[in-house]
Amino acid sequence: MKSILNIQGLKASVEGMPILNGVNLSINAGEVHAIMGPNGSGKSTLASVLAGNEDYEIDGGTVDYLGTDLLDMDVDERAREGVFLAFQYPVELPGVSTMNFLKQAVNSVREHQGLEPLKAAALLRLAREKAALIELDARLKQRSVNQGFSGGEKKRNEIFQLAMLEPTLAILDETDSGLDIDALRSVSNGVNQLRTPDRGFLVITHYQRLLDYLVPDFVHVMVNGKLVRSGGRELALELEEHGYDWIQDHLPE
Amino acid sequence: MPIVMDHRVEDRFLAAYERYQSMNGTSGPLSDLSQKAIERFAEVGFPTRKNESWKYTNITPVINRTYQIADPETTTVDGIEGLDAYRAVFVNGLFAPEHSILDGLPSGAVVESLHGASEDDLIQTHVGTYADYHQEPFTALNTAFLKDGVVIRVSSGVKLDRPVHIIHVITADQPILVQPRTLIHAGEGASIQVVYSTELKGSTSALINAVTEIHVSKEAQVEFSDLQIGTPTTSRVTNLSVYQQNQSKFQSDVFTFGGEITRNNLSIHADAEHCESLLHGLFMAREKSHIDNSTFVDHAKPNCMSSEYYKGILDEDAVGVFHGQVLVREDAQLINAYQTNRSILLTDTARMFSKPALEIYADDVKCSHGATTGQLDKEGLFYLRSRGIHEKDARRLMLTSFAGDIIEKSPIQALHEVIYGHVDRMLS
Repeated sequence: MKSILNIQGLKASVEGMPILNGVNLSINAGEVHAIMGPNGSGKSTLASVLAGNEDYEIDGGTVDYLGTDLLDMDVDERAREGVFLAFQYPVELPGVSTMNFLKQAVNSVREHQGLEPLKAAALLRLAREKAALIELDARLKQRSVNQGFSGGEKKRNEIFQLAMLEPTLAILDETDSGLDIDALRSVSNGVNQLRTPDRGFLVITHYQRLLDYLVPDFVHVMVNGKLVRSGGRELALELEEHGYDWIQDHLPE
Repeated sequence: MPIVMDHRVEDRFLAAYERYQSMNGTSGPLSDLSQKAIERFAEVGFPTRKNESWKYTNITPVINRTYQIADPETTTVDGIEGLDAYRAVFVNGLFAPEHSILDGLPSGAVVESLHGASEDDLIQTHVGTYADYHQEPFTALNTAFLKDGVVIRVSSGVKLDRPVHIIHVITADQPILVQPRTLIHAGEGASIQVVYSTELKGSTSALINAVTEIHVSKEAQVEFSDLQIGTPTTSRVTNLSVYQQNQSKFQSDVFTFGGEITRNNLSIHADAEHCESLLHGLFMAREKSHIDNSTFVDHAKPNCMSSEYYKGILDEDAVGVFHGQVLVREDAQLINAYQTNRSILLTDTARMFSKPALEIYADDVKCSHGATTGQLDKEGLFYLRSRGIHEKDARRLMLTSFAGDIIEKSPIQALHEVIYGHVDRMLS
């Protein structure tokens, strides 16, 4: 199977404080990996580091993405190469129109792929299709990016952008946080429709309930900046039953 | 033997005044006003940074240069692309009928040269009435050299279908002083939009000292858009004085791009109830450009609203100043006065001075002010880049959006695209 991402011994810190302490993870095309773990274990840091957030210092390890060194690329370069991060806290951009933003994003990626830029009409059509797919209120496209959106609307807008940009590697950082059960279900449905044989997903979540709807192929548990257990879907259920203390108490020495 | 001139700089202007007046200068009903104004100028002189209101803007280097007051030459006029407007063109401050397009003005609307204007009464009643030459030395200087200018008169109930575009063309091969003068009088219930712009021909340096007076009668509406594209050798002082009567509405949209030193004084005298005054401004500067917007809103009567919204983007070593003074007089109850100034500094060396000054003597009012100056939002930039947008495009998108907030307040659609174009050029 085609490897999308291969992380070896990744270490990262912020302001001198180590957060990732040697992460190993491999994602193949078509796979959905979930990373669970207690607050502060480093899950979101891993997502940020993979996306290219420069607030984090890389202290060691390698990240191979489709045969190239991911860590050597800037954030926008990674995005054009097909890495997408659905933010835990999407940023509000007052004044930046959603359609203008999408046009620039989609066409930056297309240009990179050697494709013609989409004209306004084609872009609108694409946006309409994708918005319907993830049940995004079409009126939100008329507004400034994320401005005044509810928590649920913001998360849905992230998945909408995912659908528009069609990345190779999609990283979902706590997309479930702040969602009620209906929103969780419909956002998960949207994501499920975006699961394709050539796309990999890394789903970061604190709670297993997301995984009821978005069923992963693999589940990893992160504690203190390391993936300490890996398994199938059943690992998430075990965690649900026993809590994170159980994992911490049963760490192999 | 050479004559050593060690006079103060004002004396040079006083000497120039004498020569100017002996050579066909101010004439007719304005001579008296001119004389009083030069006397006042001689008393007070140019402002220095010791004056509180000029604390952040040092105009002295610009004043110290030698300028000529030159007659118009043959020139061309560019106008503003896409703007469908009546056009009054002035070359080096003098009316140029051959370039002006005033056909089709509705009856009751007159756009004419101040020199030889049809109604002496109107001129005598209003010119020099709102722009206070006692208080403001640059207004005194402009008034002293009064010769020509534009008078726009809209009679009661007349609503203009298109804006009036006042274009000042400045053309010279030597450093030049130009002192444009404008009077706009909107009668009861009248409505007019005015666009004001300057075109510089040639690469010489210029000092523009403009005075504009606007009388907004009862229930009248006036919108004034000022679009100034500066050059590194152009400095500009403007005094825009607005007098508002009952239930009138005034809106200004002041767009300033570059220039050596720009000082925009805008004063609103809301002298009746239920006036609405909207003051919007966008300024963008780079290199060593300096842009100062100083506003003064005088709420003299109750039940009025004023709202000021100024935004700036400062790059390289540019300096911005916003000085927003609001006076709510004792009897002016139930006033809503808002003021916001937001600026983005793109470098460590760009600077912004933002100074609200609210003086409130009435007790039942709502007044607020807010000023923020900061860098471009890093999180926003990261978010845009994380979607594949190149860094320079992401910066441009954010800054254009920041500016767009002000641009789109202008009711003249044709200006939007033109101003977005200037924003884009400043960002590239």
